[in-house]
Amino acid sequence: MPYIPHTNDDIRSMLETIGKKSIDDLFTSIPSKYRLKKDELKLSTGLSESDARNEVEKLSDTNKRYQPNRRFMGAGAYFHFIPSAINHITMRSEFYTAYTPYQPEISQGTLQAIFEFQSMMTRLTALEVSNASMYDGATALAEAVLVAYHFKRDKKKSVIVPKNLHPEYMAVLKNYLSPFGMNIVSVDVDNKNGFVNSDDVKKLMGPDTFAVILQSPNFYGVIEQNAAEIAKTAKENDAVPIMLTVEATSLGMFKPAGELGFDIAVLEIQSFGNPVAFGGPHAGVIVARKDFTRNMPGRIIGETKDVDGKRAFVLTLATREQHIRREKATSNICSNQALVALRSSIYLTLMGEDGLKELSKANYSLSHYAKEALSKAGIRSMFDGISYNEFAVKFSSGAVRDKVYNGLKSEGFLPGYKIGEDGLLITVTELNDKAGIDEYVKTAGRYSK
Amino acid sequence: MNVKSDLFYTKDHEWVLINGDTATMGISDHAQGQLGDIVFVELPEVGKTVKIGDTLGVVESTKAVSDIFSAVEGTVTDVNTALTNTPDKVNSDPYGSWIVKMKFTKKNPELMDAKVYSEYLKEEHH
Amino acid sequence: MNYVKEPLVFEISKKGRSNSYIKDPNLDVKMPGGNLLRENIGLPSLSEIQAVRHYTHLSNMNFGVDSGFYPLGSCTMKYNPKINEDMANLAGFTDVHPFQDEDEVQGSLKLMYELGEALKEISGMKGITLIPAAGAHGESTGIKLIDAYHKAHGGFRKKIIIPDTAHGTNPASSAIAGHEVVAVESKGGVLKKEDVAPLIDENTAALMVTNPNTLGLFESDLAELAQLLHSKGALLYCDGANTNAWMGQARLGDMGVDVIQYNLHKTFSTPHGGGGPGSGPVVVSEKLLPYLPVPVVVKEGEKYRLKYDLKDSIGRIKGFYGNFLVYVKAYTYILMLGKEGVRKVSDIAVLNANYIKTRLKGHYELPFDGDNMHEVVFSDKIQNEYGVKTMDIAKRLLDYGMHPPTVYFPLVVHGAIMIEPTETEPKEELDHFCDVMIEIAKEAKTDPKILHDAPLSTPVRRCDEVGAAKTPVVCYKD
Repeated sequence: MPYIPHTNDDIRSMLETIGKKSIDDLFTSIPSKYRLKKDELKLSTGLSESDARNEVEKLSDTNKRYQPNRRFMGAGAYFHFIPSAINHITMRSEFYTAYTPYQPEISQGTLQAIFEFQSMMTRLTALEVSNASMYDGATALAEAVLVAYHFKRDKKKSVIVPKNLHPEYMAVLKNYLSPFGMNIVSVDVDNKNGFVNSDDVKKLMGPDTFAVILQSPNFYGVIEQNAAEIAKTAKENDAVPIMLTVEATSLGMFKPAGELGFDIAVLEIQSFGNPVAFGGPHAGVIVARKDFTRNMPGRIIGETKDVDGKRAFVLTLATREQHIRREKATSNICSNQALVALRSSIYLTLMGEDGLKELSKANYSLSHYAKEALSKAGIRSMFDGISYNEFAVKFSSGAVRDKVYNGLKSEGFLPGYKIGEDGLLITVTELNDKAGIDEYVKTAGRYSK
Repeated sequence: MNVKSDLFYTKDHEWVLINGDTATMGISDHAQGQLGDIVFVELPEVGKTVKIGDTLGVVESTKAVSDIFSAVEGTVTDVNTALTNTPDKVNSDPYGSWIVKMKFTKKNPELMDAKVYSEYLKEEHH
Repeated sequence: MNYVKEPLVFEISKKGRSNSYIKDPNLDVKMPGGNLLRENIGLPSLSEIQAVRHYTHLSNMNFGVDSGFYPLGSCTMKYNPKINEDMANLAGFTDVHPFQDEDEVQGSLKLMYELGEALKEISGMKGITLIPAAGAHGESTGIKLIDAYHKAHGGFRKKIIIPDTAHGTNPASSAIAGHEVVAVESKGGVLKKEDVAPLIDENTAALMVTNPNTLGLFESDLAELAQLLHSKGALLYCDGANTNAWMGQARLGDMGVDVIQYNLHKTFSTPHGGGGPGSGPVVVSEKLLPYLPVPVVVKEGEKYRLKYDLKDSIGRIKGFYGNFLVYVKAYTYILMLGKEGVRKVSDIAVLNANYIKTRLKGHYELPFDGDNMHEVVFSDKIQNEYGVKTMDIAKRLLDYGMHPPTVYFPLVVHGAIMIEPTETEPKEELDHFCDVMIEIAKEAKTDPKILHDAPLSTPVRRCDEVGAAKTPVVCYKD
């Protein structure tokens, strides 16, 4: 039997020590009418490792994998270059076969790595306290809204949410907020530019508003250029401004939440060294100003000293968490996406200050090159606002959009993500190159005629 | 276990000093001992009105949290903000570390004086 | 654990150092103007070799299942087969986008569907969502399903009954969904019908139990409790954290359970990763099928699809479809075990726990001596006499090169020591652990100081957690 080291003699002698005749005698507390017979489960019989490998590889081979420079799809999960060193380090089993660092004496590796992760997150966002990561960006955003709600002492019930928020994030937010009887107030998007105007936010702001969300780059890839003013408006009205960034590599060039006056930043960190992997595991993180420290959900690692005065790291502020607060807890999360956070830390360490900046610029350059080339080929952008590595285009009809989409696919391109009736969200990262883009544009142009 | 004679006590181990229509509250020596090293005291907003038994705030150690329940019905008039930076004062001087001051209209009829509270502690310990 | 000190990554950094992974595409594109751009970020700059060494040194200060015995109760720290990792690293899985058309991702969808079928079969349940990212996430999802059911059958029900042996997440998950938690005492270690019955009324949404419970004891009255609840329109939720005890031996679904959340990172050998990513699929009874979160994976003919148009669904609980790569690992594991292996797992998990129980009984106090399943809970009562506490015993185990059991949980046992060996530990390892535990019990009598001073051999010792919480330092400052 795989992974079970017992010999028959072992089992016999152990039963003898216990004083039972058979293993079945150990299960007498399960009422006999519910006991299963051997082989009663309708599962197949076990496979050898090589047969299991063949089975699973067959499934993986059934999936369609596009060449890296022919992938133009993003919309919340991004194809980026992943340095080889990341897999090699995360596959060290002292990291991946460990559990939550409850015993700091033998968990300094995980603890220090996450402390470093938190430090990198505060720097990226120009804020002061970060948690150790959460399930993903969407759930982190929902939890951040609850942080704001509790921070305003549960008194106010309205949160302002832009219409250019990632639709899946919106759906998760609705689900998380449903037990609290809150109002989700939608704010319009500027038709021409694709970003939110601060006047539109001002109009909706009321005494019941406890938070304002902004996503930048937003779902259409546009940078929210009124972010600072919107944050200011929120604060003047006693609401918490929350900035969501789903494409985290944009922080290598664009102003971070803290500098724009936001109290809370929520990031999806998949882009930092994690594969798209059919949607997960990815990870989210909440970063905030100091005042929010004790309202933060999830784990936080803190620096301290041990009995000998050495620097050491521990899980801290544990009283915020469910295992102590039980029914008084404000979140039930009791884990983090530790290994995803570790990958992100390693990624940022390898890229470094200059590397991340270069990466952002490459994303910006390549995607703007593609945007302009498409425009010249008659495929126009939906919005004029400044974008990062993603932009929406609009076709003359749904039929034309579908013709272009299918045509690109038939020639080996992952074309983008269909939005609305006749739009396409196109993503260009450093994995794309000029030659690939040129061909994409030519192909798209051909099918759009 | 130190029980101060001029104070009243609740079953949840808060102490109350009554002075006219003002009640000053903190947590008892027994309560701080049970919690261990206190690292944080969450204070209510001044002006908050509460009923008897409502939560006024929270005292946290590294391993436990404990709500502070109001012994009176009334309005919070003052909070001890010094405890924000020196929560350990609640450990070293529980009766000197008041947490809230309240103007009250009604007090919990089950408040115990020092003698009764000492008995209560003995009983609870068994 | 060779390294006793490793500088922070920021302390190794040198400005201007770069690995040049990214080449300038050399396109004539102007950067945006205005004041949209930032200046410094403050990230560290290291060469690749420095980075690799830094993290390797950190890994040397860590302890995983591969490092040694890890009997952390309630966490099922079994061996994580290496083939699982290889399969999850296949490019056909890692490089596939969640929004690719369904005909391009049939492999992934089939894997999800088949894994779902296996998990349904093992529990005897009718429907599944794989999406929840962790056990606690599965719990919230389960409670939302229960709420949706009640809303469709007469209205929201406020009360959730939870035994005192429960994980802290159970009351937390209930409370954040707006429920009132009613605690019930498990006299003698298990729930008695007659203790629960008076608490059930028409405002009771569900009873939430862990089976076996956190004392490692099977709730034998479960089927009767299910009947009792159902007769009042209430539901039965079962936390499946301890599935390693019953897999292949019985099916909770056959006993009338309405919701179970699995932990793939416990029972199905996917690694814990230092705290995640996990995966907490939820299986449900017939009654709850209409409310499952979207999307649901369905099979139509020979094609697999993601189904979104479920009008009564609770909606979306996470982005995309959950932690897919974790599914690959659990699926590989189930393929290898097969039906005979699934049962063997709980056979041996229960054997191992009972073996430890027998060997340590008398040396350590056993507060609830029932028919233990996959784990056993001792306490420090005997050692208290010599001024030794559970924490001292735990820290001393570190000096013997083992991870301590779960300590101070469940809360119903004062000074609890909760031991879960799992099936993958050989008899020799169990014997060594028991010998060490017996030795520590002796030390407690003869030389308690050594326990108070422990650990002596680790990179750091007894950290100041009070100081850390009082003045939190949660990020590095230059």
